Amino acid sequence: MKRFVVMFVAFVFVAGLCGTLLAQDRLDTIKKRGALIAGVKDSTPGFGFVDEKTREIVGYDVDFVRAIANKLGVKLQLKPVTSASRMPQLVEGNIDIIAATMTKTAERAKQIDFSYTYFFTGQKFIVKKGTVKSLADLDGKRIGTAKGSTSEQNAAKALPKATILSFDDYPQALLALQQGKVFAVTTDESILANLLGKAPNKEQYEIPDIQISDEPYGLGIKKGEKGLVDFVNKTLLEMEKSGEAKKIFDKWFGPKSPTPLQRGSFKITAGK
Amino acid sequence: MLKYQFDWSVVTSGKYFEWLLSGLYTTIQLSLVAIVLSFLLGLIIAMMRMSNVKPVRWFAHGYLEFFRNTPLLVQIFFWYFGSYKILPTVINDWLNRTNFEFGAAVIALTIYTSAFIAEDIRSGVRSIPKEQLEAARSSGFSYVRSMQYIILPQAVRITIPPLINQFLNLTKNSSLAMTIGVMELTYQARQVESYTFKGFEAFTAATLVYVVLSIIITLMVTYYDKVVLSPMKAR
Amino acid sequence: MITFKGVHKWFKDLHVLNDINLHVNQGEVLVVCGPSGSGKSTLIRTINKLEPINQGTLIVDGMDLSDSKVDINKLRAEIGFVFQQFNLYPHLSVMRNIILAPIKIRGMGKNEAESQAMALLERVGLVEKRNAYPTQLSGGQQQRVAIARALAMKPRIMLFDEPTSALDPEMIGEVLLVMKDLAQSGMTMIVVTHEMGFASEVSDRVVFMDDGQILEEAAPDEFFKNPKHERAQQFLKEVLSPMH
Repeated sequence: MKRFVVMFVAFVFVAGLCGTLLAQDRLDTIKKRGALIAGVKDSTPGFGFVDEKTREIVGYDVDFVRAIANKLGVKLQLKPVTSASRMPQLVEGNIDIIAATMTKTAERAKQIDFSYTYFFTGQKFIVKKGTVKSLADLDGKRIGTAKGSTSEQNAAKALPKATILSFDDYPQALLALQQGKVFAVTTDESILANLLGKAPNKEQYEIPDIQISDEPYGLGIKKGEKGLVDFVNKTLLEMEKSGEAKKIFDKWFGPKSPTPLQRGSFKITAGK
Repeated sequence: MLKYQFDWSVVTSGKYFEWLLSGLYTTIQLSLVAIVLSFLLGLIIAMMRMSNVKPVRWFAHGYLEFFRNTPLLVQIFFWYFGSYKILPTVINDWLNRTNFEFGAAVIALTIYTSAFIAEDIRSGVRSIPKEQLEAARSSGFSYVRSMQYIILPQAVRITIPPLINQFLNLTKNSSLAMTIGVMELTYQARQVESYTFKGFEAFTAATLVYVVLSIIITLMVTYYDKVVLSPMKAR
Repeated sequence: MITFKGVHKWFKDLHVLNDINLHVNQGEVLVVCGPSGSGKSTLIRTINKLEPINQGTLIVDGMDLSDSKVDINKLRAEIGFVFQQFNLYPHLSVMRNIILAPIKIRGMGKNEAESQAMALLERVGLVEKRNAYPTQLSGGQQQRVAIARALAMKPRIMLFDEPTSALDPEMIGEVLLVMKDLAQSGMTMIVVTHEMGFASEVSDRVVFMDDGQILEEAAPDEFFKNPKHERAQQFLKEVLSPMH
């Protein structure tokens, strides 16, 4: 009995030690493993989607984590995530970093750490051409969006009298717009531009210059991993400086891309 | 390991509690309307399935096979999005001004569930001795009236356990209505999750509510069985 | 009232009714007997078209049953039918068993139907069972309710298909008593039965069937004292033996 107790205490001690060692530093873990595991979207055009020819996941988000992996001198391993699964996956340690069109919000920042903003967009609307001149034209109307996104919350805040209808995904929301079931569809401009690009009779619709929120995208890292956060931020600043960040933007959202966007004055800078 | 902070207050009071409550209200409305309608439609389809008129019987047979074997989600999308292509513009415009999300969900749930209910009722009818129909017919009741007054009341009584199942399935299936934006219980639980990140609490609360709803439905039907129908039980 | 002319019926290869010719007058009480499988139940069931005939003419209350213009539901409402197994509706009380058809088919008011039902229940001696359910009654009581249910439609003809065969011996008497009372009131009745006492005491005429055919048709006194057909003699010997 006594020996059993001693063994048990020893076991608990060793297990505890192992736990501490394991949780020590993500940066070291990545280097030892020789691979950076990144959670990315696999069906969001422009950011993370499967290339029809190579069958590989490509996009703006992917290129950023690839650059970070290169800088670390490790391989890049991609793991598809959804808006709902990305944070639990990170918290449980299944992925090292989230690069999945994730808007930096104060709520989310309570749970995870964010890198500097690596993409900047805003929430806008798709509407029938000529129906909307200002935000007031949208209030009290039925507005479609997708579930679980910040778009829903922003719309509810900006248009308190509107009815927000959340569909399973954006193509459905667009279909509802085309069938007159909603008056407008709202989400990040980059997603809207892509949706509209693929829509039939797209000339009947437009994205008016009404923005209801800033959507700074950040890379997500588990709380307390200062080493990794610092490394990622440093790399992002270098990418901006070297022009690589802009190159990646032009590759996916330049004038010749399927979803041309304006980068405008956006630059990756230190700060929130 | 998991540094998850439980916070039950998000689901027991305040704004998020109200969301869940309004979701519950919608779920109850949706389920009750669809339960009543699917039961009535199920009765009609069951009778058509047993009709002597071949085309009527074939139609009912096709109806059953088609709607039982098509996923409910597809049917919900069909009634909500697909009907737009079939209906004239006037009706579409009118529907778009109403709460058509709710209507489409009711239609889909009703039609889907009625197919299962019809089969349950049919097997209930088959278990009624044919002499009951003979007795009714020889009193001068037509086939339909015989069914209405004599056969179906007995068949429904026998069918009660499977009917409870169908009603419970319907109530659970009503959560699929959130895919077209019906703000029912699961939809609201997801809303609470995406606003608060307290998914565990929100979905636990929703799950509990579904369990309670199921128990209430079971008790209600059992009460009906015991108090209203028991005198005809053999003893 | 009822006329069979050259009626035939087959169940697949089985010739269950073979050239039936029979006439029943208004107010007459006819007993049909014969061994089991002789076609007597089928015969009685053709009269309200529970079994359609394949050949011949059958005229009931002036209506030709093979005429597609005849409203069979209307005709059935005029013919009471009492089954061997009673066939009361188990989900309805005795009272509601009796008033259902008068209200739904005759359009009778509930009060009128109920007071009529009370009179009928009195006649069959079951007033105190009006709120009971069929499964709470004995077989004899159920059959008496079934007769009251049939009478509630004020039928012009009453058909009985072996009404006492499913009963325990001690309950047969109470049912026969009701039927006897009914016969004396002038009702046109056709009774398929093995109760020869009832036949000799109450009926105006006895018909003996075997193999789908009517082999003998006579007044009861004559039939019992002096049966002509060999098979009728054999049958009577069997049913009247004390061992039966």
